[in-house]
Amino acid sequence: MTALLSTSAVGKHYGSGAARMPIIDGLELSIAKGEFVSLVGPSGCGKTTLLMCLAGLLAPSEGQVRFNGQLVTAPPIGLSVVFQDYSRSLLPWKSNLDNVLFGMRRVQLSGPEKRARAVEILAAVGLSGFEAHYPWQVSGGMQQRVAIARGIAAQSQLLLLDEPLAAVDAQTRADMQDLLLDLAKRFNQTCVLVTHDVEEAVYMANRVLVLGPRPTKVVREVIVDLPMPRDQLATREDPAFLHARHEVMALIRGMRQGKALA
Amino acid sequence: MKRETRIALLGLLVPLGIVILWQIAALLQKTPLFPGPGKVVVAIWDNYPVILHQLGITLRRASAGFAVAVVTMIPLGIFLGRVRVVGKVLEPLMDMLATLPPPAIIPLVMLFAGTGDWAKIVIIAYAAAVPLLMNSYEASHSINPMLSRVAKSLHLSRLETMRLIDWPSSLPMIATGARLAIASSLLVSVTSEMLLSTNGIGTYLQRSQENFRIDAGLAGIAFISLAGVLVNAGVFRLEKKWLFWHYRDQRPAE
Amino acid sequence: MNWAIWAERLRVPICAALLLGAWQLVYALGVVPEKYFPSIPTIATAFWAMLNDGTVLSAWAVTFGRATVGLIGAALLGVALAIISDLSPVLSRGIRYISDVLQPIPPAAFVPMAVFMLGLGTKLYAFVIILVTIWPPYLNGVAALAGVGSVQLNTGRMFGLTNWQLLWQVKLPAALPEIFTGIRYAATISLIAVIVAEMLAGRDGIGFMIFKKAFALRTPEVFGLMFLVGLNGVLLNGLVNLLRQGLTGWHIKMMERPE
Repeated sequence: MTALLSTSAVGKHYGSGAARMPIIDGLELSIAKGEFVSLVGPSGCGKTTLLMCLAGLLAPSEGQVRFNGQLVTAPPIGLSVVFQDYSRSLLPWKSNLDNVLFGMRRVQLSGPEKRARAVEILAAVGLSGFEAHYPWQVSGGMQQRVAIARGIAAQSQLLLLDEPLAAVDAQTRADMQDLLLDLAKRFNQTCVLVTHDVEEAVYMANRVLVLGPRPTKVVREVIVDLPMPRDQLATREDPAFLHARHEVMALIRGMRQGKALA
Repeated sequence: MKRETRIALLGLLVPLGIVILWQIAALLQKTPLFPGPGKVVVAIWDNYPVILHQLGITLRRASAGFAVAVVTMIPLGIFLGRVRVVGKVLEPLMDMLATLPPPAIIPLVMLFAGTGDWAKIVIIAYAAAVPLLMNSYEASHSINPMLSRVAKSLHLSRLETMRLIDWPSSLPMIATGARLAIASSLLVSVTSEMLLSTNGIGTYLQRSQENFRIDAGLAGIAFISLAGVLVNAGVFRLEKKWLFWHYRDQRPAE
Repeated sequence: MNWAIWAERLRVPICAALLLGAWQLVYALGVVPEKYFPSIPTIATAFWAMLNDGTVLSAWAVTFGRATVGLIGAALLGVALAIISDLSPVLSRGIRYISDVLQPIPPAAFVPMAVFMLGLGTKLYAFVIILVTIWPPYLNGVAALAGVGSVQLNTGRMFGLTNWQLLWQVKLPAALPEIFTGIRYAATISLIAVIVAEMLAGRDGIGFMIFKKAFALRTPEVFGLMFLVGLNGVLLNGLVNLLRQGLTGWHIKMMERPE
């Protein structure tokens, strides 16, 4: 199994000398094609910085990030980030369809083909009929679906999801989790989900990577041995789910207490 | 050296470059009608007592006109904002006032009131009135409804509500109006002196031109600019002091 | 409060009636000599006569043309300066020094100093108008470009935009609404600058005409011309709004949507 995304000894710090602030230190991870991996960690551990490094939006101070074997120095084709702040990641002067087309700038297709593809993906996220609407004319959950559609449309193999559901209400959230799982399968997306919600991390993933406190690195890997497709009721009551959830939560609580004592 | 300081110092190269280009251009032109910065500096040295005296007259008049506008227009604006119906109905009249550039009334006031101090103070007051009236009106009729509810839930009396809620919350917008009004007063004060010559820095500029002393005129302009910069800095400091809660960093701490 | 709703609906005629009524009352009471305070019909007649002999229309065209062309030039230059400032912190600081120094100077002050070098024609007006009108679009542009959110910028980078494309496709569209606020303010300043320069340069345009009529004690004409000056403001604002609708219509609709 070859890795789609891998890092070797990635470190990131801001400032220098006395003001040097390490955020990431010696982070190793490897994501294989077709996986759904969750990254969880205590709050303030540097998850977002890590994601920016993985996406090529921020250069790591040490180590390397590789995507499809290629060294990542700029945002590579085939890797899309879905930001938490959907209301600001969508361009308010473009319609939903044009926002998706904006994501397809580097896709090698003719204009009409791109359009057809964008319409198809918008339909897949349940937004048929909202192509001409502007993002600010639809609900928060719908905006986030536009952002996901835009990510997929960019000929993406890997979706980096930065707490994509943190800002939507609880009911929409459950629906969106299932939609994301479904989309990942339908469009052959490998997914890396960054979240602070342990339940969500376990529910969505094949594998949960637990990040340590700052400077962060992967401290534990928890395999989630649950069948796909997942089910909001059955999965959450499965002993394997409860077991994995317990393990991750205990780890993170341990870190928070350790920090409180220190 | 800190990055900020380095940028501030390197930034000085831009105005410096322009001054040098200006000096070169002036040397090539060789005419007193296009003096270079060197000549202007000499003119500043020669004329600063006169300029400061005339500028004082101008600033006094500008302050008087501004004060008249503050005393009359802020209460009027708040009244129109609080008594909704009257304010709403009179909005077109206010808009009409706002479209008439203040210097356009100079000839008219000249007809009524001549060219003396009072004529100019009336013109300045008119120029300062428009932004003050508009902003205090806007501020007092668009107070956050949430704050009114807070006032009700705390059982504040009408007077307490006005003093503790309405006045402070409309202050930032009134301050913005005051800032525009100050700029406007200064502008119209100089303009009216140039058109209705008696005394003041505007008249001084006109005389300099008539005597072909462009260098002295530019020296006068330098002092107008300096006065403007100082007044702006003063207003800015007062705003920071009194309205710090409005200008606080909006980003929450990480 | 039924009458209140009706009063608000009829506010334009009410205001017009109030103004005209008060005017005629002052006139009828004779508090101010008629020489200085003519009746509305007298003003209307005088204005009509001026319109018919053609001088007013050509003066109006000259003034409005100067204000509009000056505004366009100042807006383009101001945005260009804002873009330069966005690219380099050093140049940004340098331009800010210049704007701090030039901004407080009234347009009137520039006129007598520039007359000898630039003459009484187009060059003078272009110089004076642009020098005082450029700052609001520039200052708003700098603030707006600096305020474009990091999420939007990262989104652009993620889809492979170069810095130049980022500027044209993300930053400028995002900054345009705020830039237009500056341009609207600049329109007001541009009209002031034109009138003042015409009054001082004393050759043509509405500003010159008002002064000429005032010195000739032709009060009805002065009032008529002032009306025209106000109309210029309305027209120029209308033009700016039309352009704003076209370029940033999305923002206007976004602001107007019900919560």
